Amino acid sequence: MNSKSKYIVIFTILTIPLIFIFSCGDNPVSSKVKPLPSVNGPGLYIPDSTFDFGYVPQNGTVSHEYRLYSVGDDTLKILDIRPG
Amino acid sequence: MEKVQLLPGEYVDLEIIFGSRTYNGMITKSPVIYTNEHDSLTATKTHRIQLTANIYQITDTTYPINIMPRLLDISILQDDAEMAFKIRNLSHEGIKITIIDYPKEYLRVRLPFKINAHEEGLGFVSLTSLGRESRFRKSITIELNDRDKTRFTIPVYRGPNITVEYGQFPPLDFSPGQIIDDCQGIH
Repeated sequence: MNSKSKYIVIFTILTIPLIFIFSCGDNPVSSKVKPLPSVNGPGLYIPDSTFDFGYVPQNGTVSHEYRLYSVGDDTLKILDIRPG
Repeated sequence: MEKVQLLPGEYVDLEIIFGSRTYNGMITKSPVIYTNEHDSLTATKTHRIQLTANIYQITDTTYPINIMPRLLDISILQDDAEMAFKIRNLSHEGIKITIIDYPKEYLRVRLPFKINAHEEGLGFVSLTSLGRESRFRKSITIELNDRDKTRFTIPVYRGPNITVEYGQFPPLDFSPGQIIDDCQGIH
C-alpha cells in the first residue's frame, strides 16, 4: 500500500464515525421532526398532546400552545373545544 | 370559539390557558377538541389533550428549588429593562436548568447555566418589541436536570401601565391576578 492509499484509508476510517455521530446525534432539527401520519378524509394529529407544567403557584395563570396538524387529504374543521 | 378550517398539511397553534386559583396539589385537565373527522358511529370525532400541574401555595414547599417571586408582574417593565427573579437551590447537588416553554414573541428569558448546591442564581425577563406593546398573561416553564426532571412554571403578567398623577397615591395592592377590565383608577 503506497502512502496515498494509506491516507485515503485513514481518512475513511476517521470520517465514517463522524458521519454516523452527526446523523444520529442530538440534532435539533432531525430529532424533533416527527413523521406525520396520513389519513383518508379529514385528519387531526397532535404530536405532543400532553404537557406537564410542574410546580405552579396558586392564583397564577399559565399557558401552553399545542400544535394541531391537518394530516388528512380533506379539509379539517375544528368544530368546538371544551374544557375538560 | 370560532370554527377553524385547516387544509391538508396546514397547522394551527391552540393556546390553553389554565388558572391555578386556589387549587392545591396535583391537577389534571383534559380539554376536548371536536372535529369533522369521520367516525364509524358519529359525524364528529373527539381528541383529548392533557395538562398536569402541581399547585403550591407557599414558596418554601417546593423542592429542589424555590423561585421568588412566585409570579412575575412585569407591568412596569419598559424598553430593554430586565426583571430579576431568584432561584434558590435547596438540594445537595448542583442543578442545571433548561427552558421548556415561554412566549418567544413577547419575552426574552435569561437563566443561570448552573446553580451550585445551596446557592442562589438569578433569572432575568425582558420584553420584545411586541411584548412592550401588549398586555398578556403567559408563563415560563423550566425543567431541572435532577432525577425527577422536576418542572416549574412561572406565571408572567403584564397589565396596563401605571401612571401616577401629581397628588395621587399609587395603588397599594396591584395583584397579578387582577382582571384588566376591573383596574379602575389605573391608566
